[in-house]
Amino acid sequence: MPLDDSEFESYLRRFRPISPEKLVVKRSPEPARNPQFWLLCGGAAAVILVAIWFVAGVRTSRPIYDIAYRDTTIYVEPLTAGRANAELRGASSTKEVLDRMAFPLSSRLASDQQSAFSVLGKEKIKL
Amino acid sequence: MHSTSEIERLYQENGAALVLFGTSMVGNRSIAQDAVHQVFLRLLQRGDIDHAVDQKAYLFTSVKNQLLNDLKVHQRIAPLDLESTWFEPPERDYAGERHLKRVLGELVPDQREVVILHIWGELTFLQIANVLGISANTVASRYRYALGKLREVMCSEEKI
Repeated sequence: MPLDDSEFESYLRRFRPISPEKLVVKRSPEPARNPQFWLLCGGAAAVILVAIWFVAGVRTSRPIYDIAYRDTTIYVEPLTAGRANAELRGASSTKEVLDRMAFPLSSRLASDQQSAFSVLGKEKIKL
Repeated sequence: MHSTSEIERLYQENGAALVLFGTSMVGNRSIAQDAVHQVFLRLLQRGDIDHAVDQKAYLFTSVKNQLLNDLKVHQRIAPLDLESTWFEPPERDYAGERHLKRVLGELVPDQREVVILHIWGELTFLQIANVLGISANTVASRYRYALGKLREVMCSEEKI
């Protein structure tokens, strides 16, 4: 007795197609870096080092140290009546004495500097 | 999104039928297998086949297009390679396997494609119509004719 369609289909399906070879995927290695990439990296590193060196240099050369030094030197010698008299005796004006006492390390003002006392003295302050 | 393992699963499930379909198209199993591999490697590179509404039909269509492109480029149309093994025969029925292969080879290519896609590809007539670019009625007609011929030859030569 001949097979009907579904029976014949079932018979045919018993023959399974041969499985194909395994799909082998080769993982490509990391692409070699362009030499320009390494040059850029080196340049960037150099720039960063120079920037760090510059910032560190600026911080260490701040005038804070000088101020502190001046502050300590200003108050090292207490101002006594005798010393004030001696200073005033040899000076041409009170302003010069006060300037010398305020800025003991810079004995003279630079050409582009002026005394704060002289500036304040010129102003007419209304009380 | 389909991961790589999902695409590999599709390969395991459909790879055999895809290669059989390709072999029936170009006659040579190695060329068919290369085409199937090309299709799946492209899928792996893309990372997904979510753009395909019908993934199974998409795979068969991709293999068909890949083989048609290969035929255009290499101009290699080989007669069906009946020497290589196409099927794993049930109960070591190697004679039955050779017989089935020979009868399939006697079918006209259009009918052979339809039979392979429906029986071993497990595609519906509508899916086959989409893959081959023909109407579902034409698919059904070709299938009925091909199945009748297969049954006639195989039943007359074997007691099944």
